[in-house]
Amino acid sequence: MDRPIIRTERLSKNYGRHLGIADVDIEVRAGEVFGYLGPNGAGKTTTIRVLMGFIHADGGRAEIFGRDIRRESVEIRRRVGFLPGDMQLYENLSGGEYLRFFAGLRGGSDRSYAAELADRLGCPLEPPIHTLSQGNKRKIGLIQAFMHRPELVILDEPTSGLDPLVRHEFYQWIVEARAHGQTVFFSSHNLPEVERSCDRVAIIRQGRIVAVERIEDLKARSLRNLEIRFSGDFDARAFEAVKGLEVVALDRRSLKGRMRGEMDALLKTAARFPVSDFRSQEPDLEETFLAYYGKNEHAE
Amino acid sequence: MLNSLFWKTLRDQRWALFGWAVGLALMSLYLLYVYPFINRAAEMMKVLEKLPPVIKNLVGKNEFMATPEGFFNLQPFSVLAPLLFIVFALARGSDATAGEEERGTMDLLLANPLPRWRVVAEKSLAHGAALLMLSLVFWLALAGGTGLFGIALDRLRLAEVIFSCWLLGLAFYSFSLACGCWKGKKKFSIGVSGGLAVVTYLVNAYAPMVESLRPYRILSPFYFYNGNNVLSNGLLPSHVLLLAGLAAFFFSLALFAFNRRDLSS
Repeated sequence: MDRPIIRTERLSKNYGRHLGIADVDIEVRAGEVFGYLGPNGAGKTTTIRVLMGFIHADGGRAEIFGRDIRRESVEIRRRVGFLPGDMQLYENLSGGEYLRFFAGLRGGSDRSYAAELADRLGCPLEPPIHTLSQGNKRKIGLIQAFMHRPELVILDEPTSGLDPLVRHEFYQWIVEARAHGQTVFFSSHNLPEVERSCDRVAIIRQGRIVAVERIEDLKARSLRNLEIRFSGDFDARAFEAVKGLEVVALDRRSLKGRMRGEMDALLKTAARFPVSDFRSQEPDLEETFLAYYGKNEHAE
Repeated sequence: MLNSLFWKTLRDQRWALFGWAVGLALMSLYLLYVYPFINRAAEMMKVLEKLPPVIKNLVGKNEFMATPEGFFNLQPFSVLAPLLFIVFALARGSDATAGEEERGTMDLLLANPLPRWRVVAEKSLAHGAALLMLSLVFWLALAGGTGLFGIALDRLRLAEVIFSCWLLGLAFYSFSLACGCWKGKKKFSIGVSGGLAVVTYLVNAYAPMVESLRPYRILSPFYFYNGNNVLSNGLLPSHVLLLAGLAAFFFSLALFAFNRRDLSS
C-alpha cells in the first residue's frame, strides 16, 4: 500500500501568460483512490497532461511506477488507463470500432471485458460515434480507460456529462478498482464526489497544492451553509452552545450560519423550537477553500 | 483494418482515395481521347509554332503538341498532375498531427503506449502509400489507355514521370507535416506549404525565360520533378535522390518538432 505509484517533486509548468502549476508535490500510493480537487483553472488538467507526457514540465520531476515521466513515457502509458477532461473521439467510427482500434494499439485486450463494461454503463457500441449523445461518448471514454485493466487509472473530471445513474455505476467501478488493487487518480471540482470515492485528496488552488488530506480528516471538517426557519419565536442564545456553528445572520424567525463537523447537536437544539424549514447545503469549492485554507495560503 | 494507426489512417481515407483514383483515371482517359484531335489540328499547330519561345517554355518544350511526349509533358505533367498530387499531399500532411490536435483526439491517441515518432511515422507511411496507390492508378489508366487509343507513349517513361510526381508529392507532404508538427495548426501548415508550392512552381516555370531567375531554378522541387522532361529524356537519378532527400529531411524535422513540443489540448 505504501509503494508510491505517482510521485512528483516541485513539478512546475509555466505558460507565461496564464497560470500553470508551481512546485506541485504529490505522492499517490499503490491501491489508493486519490482525488485531485480544485476549482476550474486551478491546474488539475495541466498536472495530468504533464504526467501523461502530453506537455513537458519546465521545473521539478515526476515518476510513475518509479519511471521518469519524460524518458519512459511509453512504458508508463502501457500500464495506465486515461480519460481526458475535454474528450474527443473519432467521430467516423462506431463505439465498438473505436474500442477495437484502441485495443489493437495496446496489442489486443479482452474484448469480452470491454463488452461487459459497455453493458454495465448501458452504452451502445454499434452506432457511429457522431450520432451519440455527449453522455454516451463519455461512457466510451470511460470504457477505453478501464478495458485493459490498467494498474493505474488517471481520470480528468470523469463524471462530467454523466447522468446520475451512470455516475453511480462509475463510483462502483472505483470501488471495484480499489478492491482489485488498481490505483486511481482522478480530478474533480466536486467535493462530495471526492469525499465519497477517495482515500486521500490533494487540493490545488491557483496552480499550487494547498493541502493533502485523508478523506476522514476532510469530512471531520466538512463545512455546510445552513438556513433554519422557525414558525414561531426561538431563542438564538440556545445555538451559542452548538459546537462548530458560526451564525452569520439572525432575525426573529430565521437563523443563517455555517456548520463544521457533526450536525447532531445542531439538530437537537433546533428541534426544541417550531422549525418550518431546514436547509443545508455544500458551499462551492472556492468558498470551502477560503474557509479551510484562507486566501492565498500555500502551505500544506 | 483497425489494429494499427497505419491501417486506420488508410481506412479513414478509403472513400476520398476512391474518388481521387476515379478522377485521375477519367482525366487520363480524357487526355488520351483528345490528344489525336489536337495532334491532327494542323492549323492549330501552325498557330502554336508561331508562339514566342518564351510562352512555349512556360508550358513545355518546343516540341509540345507535336508529339505524344510533348503533349503529355504539357498536360497533365506540367500543371495538373503535380497540382493534384500536391493538393492531396498537403491536405494530408497538414492534417496528420495538427488536425488531430485541433480536433482534440490526440490526447486519447497518445494515452496509448505509442511513442510520438510512431504516430508521425505510421500516419506518414499510410499517406505515402495512399499517394502511391493514386500513382499506380494514374499509370494504369495512362499506360493502359495508350494501347486503347493507339498512342505511342513509352510506358516505362510514363512510370518514371509518375514516380517523380509521387516524390514531389512526398516532398511537399513532409514539408506540410513538419509545419503541422511544429505549430500544431492546420491552417498555418496549409498556408505556408501552399505558398511555398506556388512560389517554387513559378520560379521553375519562369526561370528558363528570365535570366535573373535562372540560377534559382535549382531551388525549386519542380525542377527536380520534371526539369529534365522525363517523358522524353528519362528520370535522372540525381533528381530522384534530391526529391527523396528533401522528403526525408522535412520528415526528420517533423519528428524532431513533434517529439519536443507541448501538444495543444
